[in-house]
Amino acid sequence: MNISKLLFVSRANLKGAKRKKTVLVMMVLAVISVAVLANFLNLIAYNYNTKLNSIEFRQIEVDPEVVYPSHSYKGVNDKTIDEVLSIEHVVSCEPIRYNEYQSFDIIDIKDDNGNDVTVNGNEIDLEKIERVLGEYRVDEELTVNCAVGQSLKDSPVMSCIIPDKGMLFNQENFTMSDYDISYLYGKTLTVECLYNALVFSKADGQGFEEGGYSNETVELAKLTLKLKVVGVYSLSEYAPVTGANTLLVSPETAQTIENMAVEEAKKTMPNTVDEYVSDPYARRFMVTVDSRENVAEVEAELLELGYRPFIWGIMDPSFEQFATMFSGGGTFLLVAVLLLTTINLFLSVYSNINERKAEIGLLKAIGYKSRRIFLSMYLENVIQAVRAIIIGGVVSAGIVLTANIINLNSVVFQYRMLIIPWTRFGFYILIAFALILVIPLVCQLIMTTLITRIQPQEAMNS
Amino acid sequence: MKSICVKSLTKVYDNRVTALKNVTLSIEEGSFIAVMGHSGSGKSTLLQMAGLLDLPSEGSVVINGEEVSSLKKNELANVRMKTIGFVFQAFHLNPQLKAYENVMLPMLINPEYKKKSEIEQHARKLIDKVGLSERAEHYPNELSGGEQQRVAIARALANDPDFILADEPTGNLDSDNEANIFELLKELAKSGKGVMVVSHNEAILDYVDKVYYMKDGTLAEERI
Repeated sequence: MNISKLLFVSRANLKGAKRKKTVLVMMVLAVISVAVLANFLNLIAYNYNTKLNSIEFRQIEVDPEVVYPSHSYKGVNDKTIDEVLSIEHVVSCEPIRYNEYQSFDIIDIKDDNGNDVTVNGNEIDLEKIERVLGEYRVDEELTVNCAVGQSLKDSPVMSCIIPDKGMLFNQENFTMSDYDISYLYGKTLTVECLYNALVFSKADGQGFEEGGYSNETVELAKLTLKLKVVGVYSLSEYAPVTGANTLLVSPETAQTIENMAVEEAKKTMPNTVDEYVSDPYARRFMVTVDSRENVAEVEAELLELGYRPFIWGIMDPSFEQFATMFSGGGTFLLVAVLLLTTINLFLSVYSNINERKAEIGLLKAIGYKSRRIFLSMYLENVIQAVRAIIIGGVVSAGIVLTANIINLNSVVFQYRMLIIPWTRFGFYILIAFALILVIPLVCQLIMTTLITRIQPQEAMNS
Repeated sequence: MKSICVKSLTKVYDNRVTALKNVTLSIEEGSFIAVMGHSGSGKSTLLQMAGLLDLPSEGSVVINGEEVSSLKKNELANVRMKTIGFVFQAFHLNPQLKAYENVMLPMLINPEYKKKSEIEQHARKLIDKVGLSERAEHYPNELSGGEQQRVAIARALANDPDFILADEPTGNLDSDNEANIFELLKELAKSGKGVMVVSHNEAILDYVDKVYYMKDGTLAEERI
């Protein structure tokens, strides 16, 4: 079947169609609803769930045993670890072997040949880079994938991955701006850090503790480290999980750095690190739970058993409120628009067929078959859908662009999670297009019997 | 010889109303016949049967020697497309298409025409043939009743059918225009088409070769 021949009649009929403006408007609204509203809703839900399902919200810290004059807390040791592991919903109970966060100063950045790094022939601004990459964090689950280079899963020890952009806070006008740091890919950062550790040792009765362990924060060593940037990840995509300005290292790298610090500390303060090194239970332990929903239950169980649990990962309640409110209101609006569009299209198809009985009868009289008439009428809706996707797409793009700019410049970091990447926008435009093609098709399929029932002799009616 | 033969046609609606009773008639190539009668006499029903717009309850329709009344819907549509052109009282032109574009409509489904340009060219020739070359680019609402009916006739000729069946083609026209239309139909018959007109209008008697009168669903009289 020749499409241009089919379109010949469809285009002509569309010119005279009574409801075409209404149908077009409904389709445009449907496109905007899906491309903007549904997109935002899904983005919020995805970021919210991604954040909540990340490991930081499923972990409970348990300190070593401590005995105070009035009360005592159990710690994890060879006698109690099985008890902890046997609690329902507990997945693992591991000692914290390294710092999960470590701040540093960047003192140098070199390329593979040992040369200073330049950007378009200009020296790089080390101070600005340090403002956006001033600490490393451990990617415990190695879930961050890089758009450029390797992820930490595939990379050697003493490497790192960085976001494509840093966020610079301007104190003069309280705005945030993006700072492109993707050019650091492949470069080696030389950083200096004061490696501190929370060192536990057997209580000697001199402090508050009568028994168990006492603790102090000890500066183990000043380290100079070389970290090669092996990958770059998208900040917009991973912001909900990583936060802003986060240089990530693997657990092995973090362990290596810890070992370096301990080795240095052994030289200068052997007694202090002795138990830290030799006693596996002179550590905080991290209890990992199977899901966020069960964290409270496990915490209660640990308390009941006499441990001292700490939950660090608590979702910002305002974000939770925002997410819930927007999801509820947005869902209602989206459903309302799609329902209105469907009803309107259904009525349009129905009246279209009813009002054109004589015309359909004539077409059948001169030899047109029901299938061709069906296609010709459906093409009228396809033409409208194409118009709607262009108009709706442009309007939606404008809305998304405006929202992205606002969120990008917001000082509230959570709003970065509402930035819609253009690839995602394009995907939702495709979904919207599919929807406004499918709804009239379904309506028309339902009305097929009407077309079939119209007989050629209808043409003989005035 | 090409012909449409209806044999012993009977049509009963809803098991109650007998619109046609045992009607036998033929339309031959090059002939111009009229079927006349009062309202409800069954003449429009006869045209529907002959033109395969509907199927008889009893009897048969033979077109060019082939029995067609037992064909399926799609096959009937193909036969109509190739062998029969229709002209209706209400013209039924698409108001969104220009005159020549309306004539293109039947050719769009004819597999013999591959290109749209070819179809357009042929449509313009047919518009010229019915004497409307200066009005080809006009929309139906810009044409008079007579002009619209001539466009409808051109459309009926689009796929070069063997027969033209017209249902009250002058029903909405004044006397000058009706004469033009009858004249045009007469010319088509002379060119070899078999033309059957259903009409109340006795003016047609000056143009036709044969007249059939219908009464209460039967052929009451035949005059030459």
